[in-house]
Amino acid sequence: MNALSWLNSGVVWLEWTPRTLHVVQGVLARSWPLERGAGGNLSAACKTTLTKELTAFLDRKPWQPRAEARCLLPAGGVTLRRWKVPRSGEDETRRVLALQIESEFPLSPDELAWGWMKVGETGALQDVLVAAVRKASVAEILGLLEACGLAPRFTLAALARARCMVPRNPGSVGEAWLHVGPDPSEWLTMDGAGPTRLRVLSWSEQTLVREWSSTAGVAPDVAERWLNRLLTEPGPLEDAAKPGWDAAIGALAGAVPIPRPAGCIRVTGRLAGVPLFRASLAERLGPGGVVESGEPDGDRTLPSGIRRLQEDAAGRTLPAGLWLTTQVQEAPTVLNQATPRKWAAVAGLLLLGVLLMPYIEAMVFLPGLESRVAAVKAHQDRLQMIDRQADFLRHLRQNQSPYMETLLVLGKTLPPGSKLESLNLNRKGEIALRVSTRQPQQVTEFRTQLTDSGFFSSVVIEEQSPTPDRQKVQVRISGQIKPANLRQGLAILAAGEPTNALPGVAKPGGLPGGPPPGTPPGTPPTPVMRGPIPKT
Amino acid sequence: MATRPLTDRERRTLRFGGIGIAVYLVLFFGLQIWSYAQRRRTDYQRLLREAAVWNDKLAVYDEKVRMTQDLMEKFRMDPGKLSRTSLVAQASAAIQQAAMQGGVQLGPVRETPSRASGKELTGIQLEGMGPAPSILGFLETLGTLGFPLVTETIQMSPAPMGPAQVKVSLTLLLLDFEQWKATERKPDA
Repeated sequence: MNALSWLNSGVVWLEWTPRTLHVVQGVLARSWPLERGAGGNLSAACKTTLTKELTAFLDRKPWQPRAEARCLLPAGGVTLRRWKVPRSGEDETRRVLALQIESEFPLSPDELAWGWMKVGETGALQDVLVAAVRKASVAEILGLLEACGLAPRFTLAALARARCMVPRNPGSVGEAWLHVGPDPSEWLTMDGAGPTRLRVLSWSEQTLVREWSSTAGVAPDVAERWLNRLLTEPGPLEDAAKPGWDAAIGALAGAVPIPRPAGCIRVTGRLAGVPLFRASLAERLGPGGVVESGEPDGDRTLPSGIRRLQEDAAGRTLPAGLWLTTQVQEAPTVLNQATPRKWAAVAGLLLLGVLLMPYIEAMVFLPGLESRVAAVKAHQDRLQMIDRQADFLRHLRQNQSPYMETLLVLGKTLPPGSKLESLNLNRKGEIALRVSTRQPQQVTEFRTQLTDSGFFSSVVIEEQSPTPDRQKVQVRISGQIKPANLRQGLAILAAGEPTNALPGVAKPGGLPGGPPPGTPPGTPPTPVMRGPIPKT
Repeated sequence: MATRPLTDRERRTLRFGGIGIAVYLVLFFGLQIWSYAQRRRTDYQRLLREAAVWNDKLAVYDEKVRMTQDLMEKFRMDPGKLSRTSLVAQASAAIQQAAMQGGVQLGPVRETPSRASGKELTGIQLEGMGPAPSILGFLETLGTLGFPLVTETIQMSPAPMGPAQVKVSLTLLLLDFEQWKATERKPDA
């Protein structure tokens, strides 16, 4: 038993007799009476009842594969042969035996359910036992059992009773096995290697009942009670029963095929436990006839064939021996395959893995994640420092006065001949400047250019007055520089020639020859700043 | 003393008892293991969420660090390394040295006390005179002296000494990094 045993449906043991079906599953056992029609087949009502009740008895779960059913068949209709064929592999031997069956049997192998087992070998030959039965008789049982969710395999009950499913000791002497019961008796003779002949005798317990009923003149139910008392309390017979008993035993002895084997005769069935039966039979068989019980343990709760086969199969999945097979194998399906243990295990593991993966992930990655989050938290002060520095530097950048840009704009927009006399600028972008121009209209142009530059949000001429000599115009202008984000991309700030060529630069009072050495790169052209305007 | 062999009934009782104990143990320890694993998983998921929040937060810092480094290079200054006690003296000395090297003649230099609300360490008022290019070069140099200087006001006028001479009056503010606190992020909503 292992962890996957619950996946298996186990093995079901069945023994079919002409009138009864015995089923054993685990510790449960049950028997069903069989009703047969005129042709010997099971009646439809019997099949229906049997299918329904057997399915309920087996209690197979829908997810379980078909249970293996090991069926023991009665000897009726069975042909047993011993042949010597060349030693070869199993497939080759089976082909040779099929040819042998073709030539010696009235039916072809395709019409038979047949099997074989090796019982001995001599030189290049092997001694094989072949059993065959008409396929039609097996097909009825096969269909019924498959309808119950079983995957049946067939062998002979007589072989199982005589323990012929396992190899015999090479030096065994011949013997015979006689099975008596409610159904016709079965006679199996064996030599030192294995079975040689199987016969059905027309003698049963009912024969004894009939003899008692006719010779003693008692009712059949009284004869039945005599039989039951004999089976349960073996003892001497009543005087009235003795004639019938002698007649019945005599009939059985007469039915035994000749020649009998040299060894003893082993009896199985209910009468095997009655010493009087064994003694009477030995007496009737004549000198040398030794009759022993084939069931010395006396356990008859299970049919002897099933019990012996279970003992032989202990610890093995399928006992070696003679198993009847049909030529046409049924196509394998998911349900009738053997338990797919490997795939079931893989599927189970995958399912388990899927279910456990979140937990395994947590177990594996939690320590690493904890340490990483803790490391990040430990550097939280550093993040705050970065925030402080970033804000500080951003503030520093935003509060830088745009004086260089302002000078560049003024340099490009001052009218020719004009002078920038003073310039006040604060970090709020407020600008105040004083300019003197030659012509009054230049003031208007200057203002227009300042406004059009886009650099200022407002430009106001606070005062405009001519100089006392009427040669120039003095202008006081205030303005507001646009915020830095609105100043970006202005054309006037782009590198290139100034739009107004800084009229004061190249003119008297300017800086002839361009900027002096040492001027930082990017320095705007310097507007003219001359000395204070002389006051007049 | 020979031990009496157990009957089938006794064996069956022992077997059922063993199975019952095994089932109990499996359930007992199984539930404990399950609850432990569930707890670990809950902790792991909480940490995952926390890590995602940190990840989003740190993603912003990539850009912030790059911008800070750029500004540090531009101003040639690491605010964290500024010494508050000697910052005013160092800045004043650096300004005067820059003016001297740039050919600007400095006039009076005054320091004004800081305003508490302005987060400034001090204010520096200075006057200088020199050729216009030197003045411009000096003004340009102020931003890269390595001190947090903000030009509060600037006044430029012609110097009386001669043509092309410019007089400049500057009011500089020296910011105090110690008073600076990171602005707290306001909720977007």
